[in-house]
Amino acid sequence: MVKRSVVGIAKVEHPGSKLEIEKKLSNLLEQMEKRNLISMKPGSTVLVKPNICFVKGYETGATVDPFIAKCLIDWLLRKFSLKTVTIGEADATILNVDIAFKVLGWEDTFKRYPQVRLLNLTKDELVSLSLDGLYFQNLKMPKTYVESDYLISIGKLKTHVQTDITCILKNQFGAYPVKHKAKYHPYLDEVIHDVNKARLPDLCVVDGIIAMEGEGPVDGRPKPIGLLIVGNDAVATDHVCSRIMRVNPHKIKHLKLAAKRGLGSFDYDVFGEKIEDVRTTFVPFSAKLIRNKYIRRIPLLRKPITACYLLKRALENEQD
Amino acid sequence: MSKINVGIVGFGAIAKKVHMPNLMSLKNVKVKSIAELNAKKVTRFAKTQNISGLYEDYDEMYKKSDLDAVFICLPSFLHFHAVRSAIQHGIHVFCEKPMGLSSEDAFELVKMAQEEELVLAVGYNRRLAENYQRASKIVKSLKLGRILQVNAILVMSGPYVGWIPSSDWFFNDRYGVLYDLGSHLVDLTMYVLSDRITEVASIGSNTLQGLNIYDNIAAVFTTEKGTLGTLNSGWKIPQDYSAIEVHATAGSLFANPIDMEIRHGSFNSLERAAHHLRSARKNLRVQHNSEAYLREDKAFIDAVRGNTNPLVSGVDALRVLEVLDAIKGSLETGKRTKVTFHTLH
Repeated sequence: MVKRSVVGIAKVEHPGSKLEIEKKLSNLLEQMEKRNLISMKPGSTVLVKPNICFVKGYETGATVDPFIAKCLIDWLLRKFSLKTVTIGEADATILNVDIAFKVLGWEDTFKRYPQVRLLNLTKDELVSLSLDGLYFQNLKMPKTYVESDYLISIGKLKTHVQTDITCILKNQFGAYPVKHKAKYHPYLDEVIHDVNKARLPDLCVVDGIIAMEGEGPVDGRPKPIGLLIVGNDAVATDHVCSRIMRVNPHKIKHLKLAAKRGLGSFDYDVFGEKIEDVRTTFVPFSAKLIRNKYIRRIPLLRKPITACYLLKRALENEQD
Repeated sequence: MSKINVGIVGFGAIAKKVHMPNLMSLKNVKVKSIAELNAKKVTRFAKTQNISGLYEDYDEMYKKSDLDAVFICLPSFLHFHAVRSAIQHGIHVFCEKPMGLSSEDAFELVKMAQEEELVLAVGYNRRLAENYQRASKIVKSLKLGRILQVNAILVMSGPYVGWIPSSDWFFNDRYGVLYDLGSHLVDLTMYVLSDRITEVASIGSNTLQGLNIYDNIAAVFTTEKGTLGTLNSGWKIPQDYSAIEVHATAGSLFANPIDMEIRHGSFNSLERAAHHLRSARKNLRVQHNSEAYLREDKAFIDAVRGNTNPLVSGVDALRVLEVLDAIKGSLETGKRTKVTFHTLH
C-alpha cells in the first residue's frame, strides 16, 4: 500500500530555547511514528544528511544546527535498536566537510555517541547506479548513501539564488560526492532531480528555527522564525516549505520536475501548525528580477531596472 | 487618582533643566518640596512654581514633607547617603547615575529597596535613545547571529567646556570620566548585548594638567557569552559622540543616536545608497533629545503607582558599578581584572 504523504509543522516560540526545540521535535517525531511513518528494524543502519553547505554557523541561517541532529538521533536511539548512525555530507566547491564538522560543532556534539560517526561522503567508496536521469545516465554515489537502511535528510529553510528555495530536494544534491559542484549549476534542476531519483530520503526534517532570507544559501540574512517541519515525502515537504516562505511552489522548477516525475506528491496531509498560521514572507534574492522573462528579453534594461527595484526594496525594507 | 508627591534633592542643572520640567508636565505628579544646600538659588523658582517646601537638609525634607518619591540629583559622590536615607524613610527613589561610587554601596541600596519593597530607578537614559533600543531588539532577535566583537564609545567636552562652571565636583574624584561617561557606556553596552561584562583590562590618561584624574579611559573586555569588546570614554572632545558597533557571525550593526545601519553578507553599494537616503530622510525630522528623560521620569512615576517596572532598575545600576570597580582595579594594577558579582535573592 502506498503511504500517504504527510508533513508536520511545529512552532518554537523562543528560537533560542534548546529545551523547547527538543520537545517540539520529539513531539513531531512521535506523531509521525504513531502514523506508522517511522519504523526501523533492529540492527538497521541510518544515514543522516544535514545541510552543511558552508563553514558558517547555524545562527547565521546557512547551515543546520547540530543540536537538531542530536535531538533527532537521541530520539531514534531511544526508540529503535540501531546498529550505526552516520552523519554524512560531501565536499563542495568552497567547502571542506572535515573542517566544517570540527568548526561548526558537529564533532563536539557527537563525540560521546559510540554508534554515531561523521563521514565525509566525498571520501566514501562509490557505487555506480544506472539511472536514466535527466542529466546523468549513470550516477556514482557514496556507498553509505545508497546502502544505508534508512536515509534522513535534514534541510534548512532558506532562499536560494538559483533554485528559489533550498530545503530537502536541494539538500540531497549536497550528498553528490564531487567537490566541484559548481560545474553542475547550469543544469541544477535536472541534477537535483537525478540525485533524488537515485535515492529519496525516508524521513525529511527541515530546520527553520533560524531560517535564511535574501541572498541564500550563504549570504542571506538570518530569519529566526522557530519552525520545525517533518515529512515522509521530500516533494511534499518542500511544497509545504515554499508555501510557508510565500514562494509559489509552481514556479520552483526542480520541485515541479520532481513532482511531475513521480518523486513525490503535491497532495498531502498536514498536522501540527497550520501553514496559514506560520507562513511569513521571505525576502527573495535581489537578482531574481533579472530572471523575469520580460526583463530578460531587453538586456539594456536589466541593470537599471534591477537597480531601481533593489533601491526601492532597500528603502522599504525595515532593517529590524 | 491621587497625585504622587515628589521631592527633589539637589537643584543643579539636571534637576532644573530636565527633571523639573518633565515632572511639571505630568498630571499625576505634584512637586512638593526641594532640598538644596544653597536654598537661596531655589527660592524664586519655588515661588513661581508654587512649591512650598524648601529645605537645606534632605533628611529634614524626608521627615517633614510626606513624600511618595524623590529624585536624587546630587553630585555622584553624594548619591549613596541621599538614596539610603530616602529608603530608610520609606520613599521611592529615582537616582541620577551612577548609584554611588562602589558596587558595595549599590548592593546595599538594592537590598534595602528590595526589603522595603520600594522602587529604585536610575537615570541611565542614553540606552533609551531609539536607535539603541532598536539595536538591543535586533541583538535579542538573533538576526545578527553570534556576537563576536563590540566597540563602544562615548566622548564629550566634559565639565567646564560643555557643561556648567559649578561642576567642580566632577574633578573631585580621581576616576573623573569613568563615573561620568564610563558608567553610561558600560550600561549601554551591556543593555545592547543583553550580556554581562566579566573581565576587563584598562588604561587611562590625564591631559588635565595639575589635576590627578583620568579624563580619557580605554578598556578591553570579555562577556559572559564570550564576546570581546572595547570601551572608550573621554572628555575634552569638542563634539559629543556616542556609538556602538556590534560585529556578529551573520552581520554587523552600527548604531548611534542619530543613525543605525545593519550590514549582512550581501551588503552592496545599492544597500549603502538606500541606507544614506533613508538616513537623510530621517535626519530631516526634528530630533527630540529630551524624550528619553521624559520617558524615564514617566516610567518611574508609573512604577511608583505599581503599574510597571522602571526602565533602568537599581539592579542594572549595580551591574554597572561592578564593572566600574573592575575597571578601577585594572587602572590601578595595570592588570586584567575579573568583575566581582553580587548575588541577589
